[in-house]
Amino acid sequence: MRNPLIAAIAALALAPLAGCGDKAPDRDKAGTGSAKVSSGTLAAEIGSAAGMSTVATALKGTGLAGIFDGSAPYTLLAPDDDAFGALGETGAMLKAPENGAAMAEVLKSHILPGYVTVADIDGAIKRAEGKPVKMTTMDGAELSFARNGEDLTVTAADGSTAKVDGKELAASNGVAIPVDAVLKKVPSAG
Amino acid sequence: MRILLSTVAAIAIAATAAQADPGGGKGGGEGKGGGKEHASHAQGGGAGGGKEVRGNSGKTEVGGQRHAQAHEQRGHGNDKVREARGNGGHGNAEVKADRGHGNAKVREARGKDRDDVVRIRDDRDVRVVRDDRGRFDWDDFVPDRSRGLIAGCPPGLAKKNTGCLPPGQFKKASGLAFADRPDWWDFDDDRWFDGMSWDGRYRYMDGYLVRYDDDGIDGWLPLLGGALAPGNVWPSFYQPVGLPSYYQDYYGLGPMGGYRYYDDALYRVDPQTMAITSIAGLLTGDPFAVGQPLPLGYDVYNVPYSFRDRYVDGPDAYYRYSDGYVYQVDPTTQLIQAAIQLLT
Repeated sequence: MRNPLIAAIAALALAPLAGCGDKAPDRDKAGTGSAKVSSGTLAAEIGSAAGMSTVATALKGTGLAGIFDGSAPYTLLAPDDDAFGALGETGAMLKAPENGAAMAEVLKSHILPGYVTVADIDGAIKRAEGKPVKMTTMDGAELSFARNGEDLTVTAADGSTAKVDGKELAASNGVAIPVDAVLKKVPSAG
Repeated sequence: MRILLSTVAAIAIAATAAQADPGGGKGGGEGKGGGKEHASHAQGGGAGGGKEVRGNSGKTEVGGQRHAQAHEQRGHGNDKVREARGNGGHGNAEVKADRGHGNAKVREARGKDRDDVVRIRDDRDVRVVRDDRGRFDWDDFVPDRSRGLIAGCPPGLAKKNTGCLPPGQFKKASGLAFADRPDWWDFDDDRWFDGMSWDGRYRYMDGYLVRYDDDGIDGWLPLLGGALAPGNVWPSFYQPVGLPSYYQDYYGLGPMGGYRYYDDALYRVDPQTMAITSIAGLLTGDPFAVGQPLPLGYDVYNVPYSFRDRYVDGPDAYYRYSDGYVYQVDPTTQLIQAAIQLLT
Protein backbone atom coordinates (compact mmCIF):
# COMPACT_ATOMS: atom_id res chain seq x y z
CA MET A 1 0.00 0.00 0.00
CA ARG A 2 1.45 3.24 -1.03
CA ASN A 3 0.67 6.32 0.94
CA PRO A 4 0.97 9.58 -0.99
CA LEU A 5 1.38 11.62 2.17
CA ILE A 6 4.20 9.48 3.43
CA ALA A 7 5.77 9.55 0.03
CA ALA A 8 5.65 13.30 -0.04
CA ILE A 9 7.15 13.55 3.42
CA ALA A 10 9.80 11.07 2.41
CA ALA A 11 10.69 13.09 -0.62
CA LEU A 12 11.16 16.15 1.52
CA ALA A 13 13.14 14.24 4.08
CA LEU A 14 15.36 12.38 1.69
CA ALA A 15 16.25 15.11 -0.72
CA PRO A 16 18.60 17.04 1.55
CA LEU A 17 20.31 13.88 2.66
CA ALA A 18 21.39 12.58 -0.62
CA GLY A 19 24.51 14.56 -0.79
CA CYS A 20 24.87 15.36 2.83
CA GLY A 21 24.61 18.97 2.06
CA ASP A 22 25.40 18.55 -1.57
CA LYS A 23 22.88 18.91 -4.28
CA ALA A 24 20.77 15.83 -4.58
CA PRO A 25 21.75 13.69 -7.56
CA ASP A 26 19.65 13.52 -10.63
CA ARG A 27 17.90 10.25 -10.12
CA ASP A 28 16.47 10.09 -13.58
CA LYS A 29 19.90 10.53 -14.96
CA ALA A 30 21.01 7.74 -12.72
CA GLY A 31 18.61 5.56 -14.55
CA THR A 32 17.00 4.25 -11.47
CA GLY A 33 14.35 6.80 -10.82
CA SER A 34 12.90 7.83 -7.54
CA ALA A 35 10.66 5.41 -5.76
CA LYS A 36 7.77 6.27 -3.55
CA VAL A 37 8.08 5.02 -0.03
CA SER A 38 5.57 2.36 0.78
CA SER A 39 3.99 2.20 4.18
CA GLY A 40 4.23 -1.56 3.96
CA THR A 41 7.17 -3.74 4.78
CA LEU A 42 9.98 -4.56 2.45
CA ALA A 43 9.00 -8.20 2.51
CA ALA A 44 5.60 -7.27 1.14
CA GLU A 45 7.08 -5.00 -1.49
CA ILE A 46 9.46 -7.63 -2.75
CA GLY A 47 6.74 -10.22 -2.73
CA SER A 48 4.70 -8.25 -5.18
CA ALA A 49 7.47 -6.80 -7.33
CA ALA A 50 7.81 -7.74 -10.96
CA GLY A 51 11.04 -9.51 -11.87
CA MET A 52 11.84 -10.44 -8.30
CA SER A 53 9.96 -13.67 -7.97
CA THR A 54 13.13 -15.69 -7.49
CA VAL A 55 14.31 -13.51 -4.67
CA ALA A 56 10.86 -13.40 -3.14
CA THR A 57 10.58 -17.16 -3.20
CA ALA A 58 14.07 -17.57 -1.83
CA LEU A 59 13.46 -15.17 1.01
CA LYS A 60 10.34 -17.02 1.98
CA GLY A 61 11.89 -20.44 1.64
CA THR A 62 14.95 -19.64 3.70
CA GLY A 63 13.07 -17.66 6.32
CA LEU A 64 15.01 -14.51 5.55
CA ALA A 65 11.79 -12.77 4.63
CA GLY A 66 11.30 -12.47 8.37
CA ILE A 67 14.00 -9.87 8.71
CA PHE A 68 12.28 -7.69 6.13
CA ASP A 69 9.10 -7.81 8.14
CA GLY A 70 10.57 -6.33 11.29
CA SER A 71 11.40 -2.83 12.39
CA ALA A 72 15.13 -3.13 11.85
CA PRO A 73 16.03 -1.64 8.48
CA TYR A 74 17.86 -3.52 5.76
CA THR A 75 18.67 -2.87 2.16
CA LEU A 76 18.62 -5.72 -0.30
CA LEU A 77 20.48 -5.57 -3.56
CA ALA A 78 18.03 -7.84 -5.25
CA PRO A 79 19.26 -9.90 -8.19
CA ASP A 80 16.41 -10.01 -10.63
CA ASP A 81 15.03 -13.18 -12.10
CA ASP A 82 17.28 -12.89 -15.11
CA ALA A 83 20.31 -12.72 -12.86
CA PHE A 84 19.51 -16.10 -11.38
CA GLY A 85 18.57 -17.40 -14.79
CA ALA A 86 22.01 -16.49 -16.05
CA LEU A 87 23.49 -18.95 -13.60
CA GLY A 88 22.01 -21.80 -15.58
CA GLU A 89 21.92 -25.18 -13.95
CA THR A 90 23.74 -23.91 -10.92
CA GLY A 91 21.09 -21.28 -10.47
CA ALA A 92 18.39 -23.89 -10.71
CA MET A 93 20.08 -25.98 -8.06
CA LEU A 94 20.52 -22.95 -5.90
CA LYS A 95 16.79 -22.41 -5.98
CA ALA A 96 16.03 -25.94 -4.89
CA PRO A 97 14.52 -26.09 -1.41
CA GLU A 98 17.13 -28.52 -0.16
CA ASN A 99 19.79 -25.95 -0.99
CA GLY A 100 18.15 -23.20 1.00
CA ALA A 101 21.22 -22.60 3.11
CA ALA A 102 23.30 -21.95 0.01
CA MET A 103 20.70 -19.54 -1.24
CA ALA A 104 20.62 -17.84 2.15
CA GLU A 105 24.37 -17.43 2.04
CA VAL A 106 24.08 -15.85 -1.37
CA LEU A 107 21.36 -13.49 -0.21
CA LYS A 108 23.28 -12.44 2.88
CA SER A 109 25.98 -11.09 0.65
CA HIS A 110 23.39 -8.82 -0.92
CA ILE A 111 22.00 -7.34 2.28
CA LEU A 112 23.23 -4.07 3.73
CA PRO A 113 22.52 -2.77 7.19
CA GLY A 114 20.16 0.15 7.28
CA TYR A 115 18.16 2.07 4.78
CA VAL A 116 20.13 2.86 1.65
CA THR A 117 18.71 4.42 -1.46
CA VAL A 118 20.33 4.90 -4.81
CA ALA A 119 20.37 8.60 -4.06
CA ASP A 120 22.27 7.90 -0.87
CA ILE A 121 24.84 5.92 -2.80
CA ASP A 122 25.17 8.65 -5.39
CA GLY A 123 25.51 11.20 -2.65
CA ALA A 124 28.35 9.25 -1.09
CA ILE A 125 30.10 8.88 -4.43
CA LYS A 126 29.76 12.57 -4.99
CA ARG A 127 31.25 13.33 -1.60
CA ALA A 128 34.08 11.00 -2.48
CA GLU A 129 34.63 13.06 -5.60
CA GLY A 130 33.57 10.29 -7.88
CA LYS A 131 35.56 7.55 -6.27
CA PRO A 132 33.94 4.25 -5.35
CA VAL A 133 32.32 3.97 -1.96
CA LYS A 134 31.88 0.92 0.21
CA MET A 135 29.19 -0.60 2.30
CA THR A 136 29.44 -3.61 4.52
CA THR A 137 27.14 -6.54 3.96
CA MET A 138 25.52 -8.93 6.34
CA ASP A 139 28.04 -11.59 5.45
CA GLY A 140 30.86 -9.39 6.63
CA ALA A 141 32.27 -8.46 3.27
CA GLU A 142 32.13 -5.11 1.57
CA LEU A 143 30.49 -4.04 -1.63
CA SER A 144 31.96 -1.25 -3.68
CA PHE A 145 29.70 1.13 -5.55
CA ALA A 146 30.85 3.19 -8.48
CA ARG A 147 29.19 5.42 -11.00
CA ASN A 148 30.26 4.80 -14.56
CA GLY A 149 28.33 7.19 -16.68
CA GLU A 150 24.74 6.16 -16.53
CA ASP A 151 25.55 2.91 -14.78
CA LEU A 152 25.74 2.41 -11.08
CA THR A 153 27.90 -0.65 -10.63
CA VAL A 154 28.41 -2.85 -7.64
CA THR A 155 31.49 -4.98 -7.09
CA ALA A 156 31.79 -7.66 -4.45
CA ALA A 157 34.94 -8.68 -2.67
CA ASP A 158 35.16 -11.84 -4.74
CA GLY A 159 35.10 -9.81 -7.94
CA SER A 160 31.48 -10.37 -8.83
CA THR A 161 29.92 -7.35 -10.42
CA ALA A 162 26.42 -6.16 -11.14
CA LYS A 163 24.63 -3.07 -12.28
CA VAL A 164 21.61 -1.45 -10.77
CA ASP A 165 18.96 -2.08 -13.35
CA GLY A 166 15.65 -0.79 -12.13
CA LYS A 167 13.79 1.38 -9.74
CA GLU A 168 14.36 0.75 -6.11
CA LEU A 169 11.54 -0.41 -3.90
CA ALA A 170 11.40 1.83 -0.87
CA ALA A 171 9.40 0.48 2.05
CA SER A 172 8.99 1.67 5.59
CA ASN A 173 11.65 -0.70 6.89
CA GLY A 174 14.04 -1.02 4.02
CA VAL A 175 14.92 -0.74 0.40
CA ALA A 176 15.32 -3.25 -2.40
CA ILE A 177 17.57 -2.18 -5.27
CA PRO A 178 17.35 -4.41 -8.33
CA VAL A 179 20.65 -5.60 -9.75
CA ASP A 180 21.32 -7.56 -12.89
CA ALA A 181 23.71 -10.17 -11.54
CA VAL A 182 24.38 -12.24 -8.47
CA LEU A 183 27.07 -10.69 -6.31
CA LYS A 184 28.60 -13.86 -5.02
CA LYS A 185 30.39 -16.39 -7.10
CA VAL A 186 28.57 -19.65 -7.49
CA PRO A 187 30.73 -21.71 -9.81
CA SER A 188 29.17 -24.49 -11.79
CA ALA A 189 28.90 -27.74 -9.95
CA GLY A 190 31.91 -29.91 -10.49
CA MET B 1 31.31 -13.30 8.08
CA ARG B 2 33.04 -12.74 11.12
CA ILE B 3 30.99 -14.72 13.13
CA LEU B 4 30.53 -14.00 16.21
CA LEU B 5 32.06 -10.93 15.53
CA SER B 6 35.02 -10.61 13.82
CA THR B 7 37.48 -11.53 16.08
CA VAL B 8 40.41 -10.07 17.79
CA ALA B 9 40.14 -6.63 16.42
CA ALA B 10 36.51 -6.62 17.20
CA ILE B 11 37.23 -7.74 20.67
CA ALA B 12 39.90 -5.20 21.13
CA ILE B 13 37.93 -2.37 19.76
CA ALA B 14 34.68 -3.36 21.26
CA ALA B 15 36.12 -3.68 24.67
CA THR B 16 37.50 -0.23 24.73
CA ALA B 17 34.48 1.91 24.83
CA ALA B 18 30.78 2.04 24.88
CA GLN B 19 29.51 -0.41 22.38
CA ALA B 20 26.29 -0.45 20.57
CA ASP B 21 24.59 -1.19 23.74
CA PRO B 22 25.90 -0.38 27.13
CA GLY B 23 24.82 -3.70 28.37
CA GLY B 24 28.13 -5.21 28.97
CA GLY B 25 28.54 -8.86 28.43
CA LYS B 26 30.25 -11.64 30.07
CA GLY B 27 33.42 -12.75 28.53
CA GLY B 28 33.68 -15.36 25.88
CA GLY B 29 35.98 -17.62 27.73
CA GLU B 30 37.23 -20.93 26.61
CA GLY B 31 35.07 -22.99 24.44
CA LYS B 32 34.10 -26.46 25.37
CA GLY B 33 33.67 -29.11 22.89
CA GLY B 34 33.66 -32.74 23.21
CA GLY B 35 33.78 -35.41 20.74
CA LYS B 36 36.24 -36.42 18.18
CA GLU B 37 39.64 -35.06 17.85
CA HIS B 38 39.02 -32.90 14.85
CA ALA B 39 35.91 -31.34 16.11
CA SER B 40 36.93 -30.82 19.65
CA HIS B 41 39.98 -28.90 18.72
CA ALA B 42 37.75 -26.47 17.01
CA GLN B 43 36.23 -25.32 20.22
CA GLY B 44 37.68 -22.67 22.37
CA GLY B 45 41.12 -21.31 22.38
CA GLY B 46 42.74 -18.60 20.48
CA ALA B 47 42.17 -15.69 18.37
CA GLY B 48 41.23 -15.23 14.84
CA GLY B 49 41.69 -12.40 12.51
CA GLY B 50 39.91 -9.18 12.71
CA LYS B 51 39.00 -6.50 10.36
CA GLU B 52 41.35 -3.95 9.25
CA VAL B 53 40.95 -0.69 10.98
CA ARG B 54 41.30 2.35 8.88
CA GLY B 55 43.65 4.97 10.12
CA ASN B 56 42.84 8.59 10.05
CA SER B 57 45.12 10.54 7.82
CA GLY B 58 46.90 7.39 7.04
CA LYS B 59 47.71 6.65 10.61
CA THR B 60 47.29 3.02 11.42
CA GLU B 61 49.06 2.81 14.68
CA VAL B 62 45.88 2.53 16.62
CA GLY B 63 44.64 -0.47 14.80
CA GLY B 64 48.00 -2.04 14.87
CA GLN B 65 48.38 -1.46 18.53
CA ARG B 66 45.05 -2.97 19.29
CA HIS B 67 45.75 -5.91 17.18
CA ALA B 68 49.09 -6.47 18.69
CA GLN B 69 47.64 -6.45 22.11
CA ALA B 70 44.79 -8.70 21.30
CA HIS B 71 47.00 -10.98 19.34
CA GLU B 72 49.30 -11.37 22.21
CA GLN B 73 46.47 -12.05 24.52
CA ARG B 74 44.70 -14.62 22.45
CA GLY B 75 47.69 -16.33 21.12
CA HIS B 76 46.87 -17.16 17.59
CA GLY B 77 44.88 -15.74 14.85
CA ASN B 78 45.63 -13.97 11.73
CA ASP B 79 46.79 -10.54 11.13
CA LYS B 80 43.82 -9.00 9.53
CA VAL B 81 42.91 -6.17 11.75
CA ARG B 82 40.68 -3.52 10.43
CA GLU B 83 42.45 -0.38 9.64
CA ALA B 84 41.06 2.28 11.89
CA ARG B 85 39.82 5.49 10.56
CA GLY B 86 40.40 8.44 12.68
CA ASN B 87 42.97 8.98 15.26
CA GLY B 88 42.82 6.93 18.28
CA GLY B 89 44.71 5.88 21.25
CA HIS B 90 41.59 5.05 23.10
CA GLY B 91 41.18 2.46 25.63
CA ASN B 92 43.35 -0.48 24.90
CA ALA B 93 43.96 -1.13 28.51
CA GLU B 94 40.62 -2.69 29.10
CA VAL B 95 40.86 -5.44 26.60
CA LYS B 96 42.26 -8.07 28.83
CA ALA B 97 39.97 -7.38 31.68
CA ASP B 98 36.96 -7.88 29.54
CA ARG B 99 37.65 -11.35 28.31
CA GLY B 100 38.10 -14.78 29.47
CA HIS B 101 35.28 -15.54 31.78
CA GLY B 102 31.83 -16.73 31.42
CA ASN B 103 31.22 -20.36 30.97
CA ALA B 104 27.80 -20.00 32.41
CA LYS B 105 25.37 -22.13 30.57
CA VAL B 106 23.03 -19.26 30.08
CA ARG B 107 24.60 -15.91 29.63
CA GLU B 108 22.92 -12.78 30.72
CA ALA B 109 23.70 -9.16 30.43
CA ARG B 110 25.08 -7.65 33.53
CA GLY B 111 22.09 -5.58 34.22
CA LYS B 112 23.84 -2.32 33.67
CA ASP B 113 22.53 -1.85 30.25
CA ARG B 114 20.82 1.35 31.20
CA ASP B 115 23.26 2.76 33.69
CA ASP B 116 25.40 4.56 31.22
CA VAL B 117 22.72 5.60 28.85
CA VAL B 118 22.08 9.23 29.28
CA ARG B 119 19.13 11.07 27.97
CA ILE B 120 20.69 14.22 26.73
CA ARG B 121 18.31 15.37 24.09
CA ASP B 122 14.87 15.23 25.54
CA ASP B 123 13.43 17.15 22.68
CA ARG B 124 14.22 14.20 20.52
CA ASP B 125 13.26 11.70 23.11
CA VAL B 126 16.15 9.46 22.36
CA ARG B 127 18.68 7.69 24.46
CA VAL B 128 22.27 8.38 23.75
CA VAL B 129 25.19 6.43 24.96
CA ARG B 130 27.97 8.84 25.59
CA ASP B 131 30.54 7.36 27.79
CA ASP B 132 32.54 4.22 27.83
CA ARG B 133 31.54 2.56 31.02
CA GLY B 134 29.31 0.10 29.34
CA ARG B 135 30.36 -2.05 26.49
CA PHE B 136 28.56 -4.57 24.46
CA ASP B 137 30.22 -7.19 22.39
CA TRP B 138 28.08 -9.58 20.46
CA ASP B 139 30.95 -11.92 20.63
CA ASP B 140 30.47 -12.24 24.32
CA PHE B 141 27.03 -13.61 23.80
CA VAL B 142 28.08 -16.48 21.66
CA PRO B 143 27.55 -19.61 23.66
CA ASP B 144 30.87 -21.10 24.55
CA ARG B 145 30.16 -24.34 22.87
CA SER B 146 29.22 -22.86 19.56
CA ARG B 147 32.48 -21.46 18.43
CA GLY B 148 33.40 -24.19 16.08
CA LEU B 149 32.35 -27.45 14.61
CA ILE B 150 30.10 -29.59 16.66
CA ALA B 151 31.53 -33.01 17.11
CA GLY B 152 29.67 -35.96 15.73
CA CYS B 153 26.96 -35.95 13.15
CA PRO B 154 24.03 -33.65 12.52
CA PRO B 155 20.72 -34.45 14.11
CA GLY B 156 18.59 -36.74 12.06
CA LEU B 157 21.34 -38.56 10.29
CA ALA B 158 21.55 -42.15 11.29
CA LYS B 159 24.80 -43.57 12.45
CA LYS B 160 25.60 -46.43 10.28
CA ASN B 161 28.57 -48.03 8.70
CA THR B 162 29.97 -44.86 7.27
CA GLY B 163 30.23 -42.87 10.40
CA CYS B 164 26.98 -41.09 11.02
CA LEU B 165 25.99 -41.01 7.42
CA PRO B 166 23.32 -43.22 6.00
CA PRO B 167 24.77 -45.50 3.36
CA GLY B 168 24.53 -44.08 -0.10
CA GLN B 169 23.50 -40.64 0.93
CA PHE B 170 26.94 -39.24 0.84
CA LYS B 171 27.32 -39.62 -2.88
CA LYS B 172 24.20 -37.72 -3.71
CA ALA B 173 24.98 -34.60 -1.79
CA SER B 174 24.09 -31.17 -2.97
CA GLY B 175 25.87 -31.11 -6.27
CA LEU B 176 26.81 -27.54 -5.50
CA ALA B 177 30.52 -28.14 -5.42
CA PHE B 178 31.29 -24.64 -4.26
CA ALA B 179 29.10 -25.20 -1.23
CA ASP B 180 31.39 -27.97 -0.11
CA ARG B 181 34.12 -25.49 0.62
CA PRO B 182 34.17 -23.83 4.02
CA ASP B 183 35.58 -20.66 2.55
CA TRP B 184 32.53 -20.23 0.36
CA TRP B 185 30.55 -19.95 3.55
CA ASP B 186 33.16 -17.56 4.85
CA PHE B 187 34.26 -20.20 7.27
CA ASP B 188 37.90 -19.46 7.13
CA ASP B 189 40.47 -18.44 9.62
CA ASP B 190 38.68 -15.17 10.11
CA ARG B 191 35.30 -16.61 10.78
CA TRP B 192 35.82 -17.91 14.25
CA PHE B 193 37.96 -16.13 16.67
CA ASP B 194 38.94 -19.44 18.10
CA GLY B 195 41.36 -19.60 15.26
CA MET B 196 40.36 -23.11 14.42
CA SER B 197 41.71 -24.84 11.41
CA TRP B 198 39.36 -25.59 8.57
CA ASP B 199 41.49 -28.33 7.19
CA GLY B 200 39.70 -31.43 6.11
CA ARG B 201 37.02 -32.51 3.72
CA TYR B 202 33.63 -30.91 3.85
CA ARG B 203 30.25 -31.43 2.35
CA TYR B 204 27.12 -29.36 2.28
CA MET B 205 24.08 -31.48 2.93
CA ASP B 206 20.67 -31.13 4.42
CA GLY B 207 21.28 -27.61 5.57
CA TYR B 208 24.52 -28.43 7.33
CA LEU B 209 28.16 -28.08 6.53
CA VAL B 210 29.73 -31.33 7.64
CA ARG B 211 33.29 -32.43 7.86
CA TYR B 212 34.11 -35.99 7.13
CA ASP B 213 36.94 -38.40 6.88
CA ASP B 214 37.20 -41.98 5.81
CA ASP B 215 35.19 -43.07 8.80
CA GLY B 216 32.33 -40.72 8.12
CA ILE B 217 31.21 -37.37 9.45
CA ASP B 218 33.11 -36.09 12.43
CA GLY B 219 31.81 -32.56 12.78
CA TRP B 220 29.07 -30.26 11.62
CA LEU B 221 27.64 -26.79 11.63
CA PRO B 222 24.02 -25.79 11.11
CA LEU B 223 23.50 -23.15 8.46
CA LEU B 224 21.20 -20.20 8.23
CA GLY B 225 18.32 -20.95 5.92
CA GLY B 226 19.06 -24.64 6.08
CA ALA B 227 19.07 -26.40 9.40
CA LEU B 228 18.46 -22.99 10.92
CA ALA B 229 15.28 -22.16 9.11
CA PRO B 230 11.75 -21.72 10.38
CA GLY B 231 10.10 -25.03 11.13
CA ASN B 232 13.27 -26.81 12.13
CA VAL B 233 14.13 -27.59 15.70
CA TRP B 234 16.83 -25.48 17.22
CA PRO B 235 19.98 -27.53 17.82
CA SER B 236 20.06 -28.25 21.52
CA PHE B 237 23.80 -27.94 21.41
CA TYR B 238 23.49 -24.19 21.21
CA GLN B 239 22.65 -22.63 24.49
CA PRO B 240 20.27 -19.75 24.94
CA VAL B 241 21.70 -16.34 25.59
CA GLY B 242 20.35 -13.34 27.41
CA LEU B 243 20.73 -10.24 25.35
CA PRO B 244 20.32 -6.74 26.73
CA SER B 245 16.72 -5.70 26.89
CA TYR B 246 17.21 -3.07 24.22
CA TYR B 247 17.99 -5.69 21.63
CA GLN B 248 15.15 -7.88 22.79
CA ASP B 249 12.81 -4.97 22.26
CA TYR B 250 14.29 -3.63 19.07
CA TYR B 251 14.28 -6.93 17.26
CA GLY B 252 11.02 -8.06 18.81
CA LEU B 253 12.56 -11.09 20.42
CA GLY B 254 10.39 -11.35 23.45
CA PRO B 255 11.61 -12.80 26.72
CA MET B 256 14.67 -14.92 27.07
CA GLY B 257 13.99 -18.49 26.17
CA GLY B 258 12.05 -17.44 23.13
CA TYR B 259 15.00 -16.51 21.02
CA ARG B 260 18.49 -17.56 20.09
CA TYR B 261 21.53 -15.73 18.85
CA TYR B 262 24.03 -17.52 16.71
CA ASP B 263 26.41 -16.54 13.93
CA ASP B 264 25.26 -12.95 13.72
CA ALA B 265 21.63 -13.89 13.38
CA LEU B 266 18.70 -13.72 15.76
CA TYR B 267 16.06 -16.42 15.74
CA ARG B 268 12.73 -16.69 17.45
CA VAL B 269 11.96 -20.10 18.82
CA ASP B 270 9.01 -21.73 20.45
CA PRO B 271 10.11 -22.19 24.06
CA GLN B 272 8.09 -25.36 24.33
CA THR B 273 9.00 -27.19 21.17
CA MET B 274 12.25 -25.39 20.38
CA ALA B 275 11.10 -25.06 16.83
CA ILE B 276 12.41 -22.04 15.02
CA THR B 277 9.48 -19.78 14.31
CA SER B 278 11.23 -17.00 12.43
CA ILE B 279 14.48 -15.27 11.70
CA ALA B 280 14.29 -12.01 13.59
CA GLY B 281 17.34 -10.24 12.30
CA LEU B 282 20.79 -10.35 10.86
CA LEU B 283 23.60 -8.49 12.54
CA THR B 284 26.78 -6.98 11.27
CA GLY B 285 28.48 -7.43 14.59
CA ASP B 286 30.67 -4.54 13.59
CA PRO B 287 32.61 -2.96 16.43
CA PHE B 288 31.01 0.40 16.97
CA ALA B 289 32.01 2.19 20.11
CA VAL B 290 31.80 5.74 21.28
CA GLY B 291 35.19 7.37 21.00
CA GLN B 292 36.36 4.87 18.43
CA PRO B 293 36.71 5.20 14.68
CA LEU B 294 33.80 4.36 12.48
CA PRO B 295 34.30 0.83 11.15
CA LEU B 296 35.01 0.37 7.50
CA GLY B 297 32.18 -0.14 5.10
CA TYR B 298 29.89 2.65 6.14
CA ASP B 299 30.54 5.21 3.46
CA VAL B 300 26.89 5.57 2.60
CA TYR B 301 24.19 7.23 4.65
CA ASN B 302 21.93 4.45 5.90
CA VAL B 303 19.81 5.88 8.66
CA PRO B 304 16.38 4.25 9.00
CA TYR B 305 13.64 5.97 7.10
CA SER B 306 11.68 7.07 10.12
CA PHE B 307 14.72 8.76 11.65
CA ARG B 308 15.97 10.60 8.62
CA ASP B 309 14.39 13.83 9.64
CA ARG B 310 16.25 13.76 12.93
CA TYR B 311 19.64 12.55 11.90
CA VAL B 312 20.74 14.40 8.84
CA ASP B 313 24.33 14.43 7.69
CA GLY B 314 25.86 17.84 7.98
CA PRO B 315 29.13 19.67 8.53
CA ASP B 316 29.09 19.02 12.27
CA ALA B 317 28.11 15.40 12.31
CA TYR B 318 27.06 12.54 10.18
CA TYR B 319 25.12 9.44 11.05
CA ARG B 320 25.32 5.78 10.32
CA TYR B 321 23.16 2.86 11.36
CA SER B 322 24.22 -0.58 12.51
CA ASP B 323 22.56 -3.31 14.54
CA GLY B 324 19.83 -1.25 16.12
CA TYR B 325 21.72 1.96 16.76
CA VAL B 326 22.36 5.18 14.91
CA TYR B 327 25.87 6.43 15.48
CA GLN B 328 26.84 10.06 15.37
CA VAL B 329 30.25 10.57 13.83
CA ASP B 330 32.56 13.54 13.86
CA PRO B 331 33.28 14.35 10.21
CA THR B 332 36.71 15.64 11.02
CA THR B 333 38.08 12.96 13.28
CA GLN B 334 35.85 10.15 12.02
CA LEU B 335 35.34 9.18 15.64
CA ILE B 336 31.99 8.02 16.90
CA GLN B 337 30.53 10.64 19.18
CA ALA B 338 27.35 9.00 20.33
CA ALA B 339 25.33 5.84 20.01
CA ILE B 340 21.66 6.53 19.72
CA GLN B 341 19.00 4.03 20.61
CA LEU B 342 16.01 4.01 18.34
CA LEU B 343 13.36 2.99 20.80
CA THR B 344 11.87 5.47 23.17
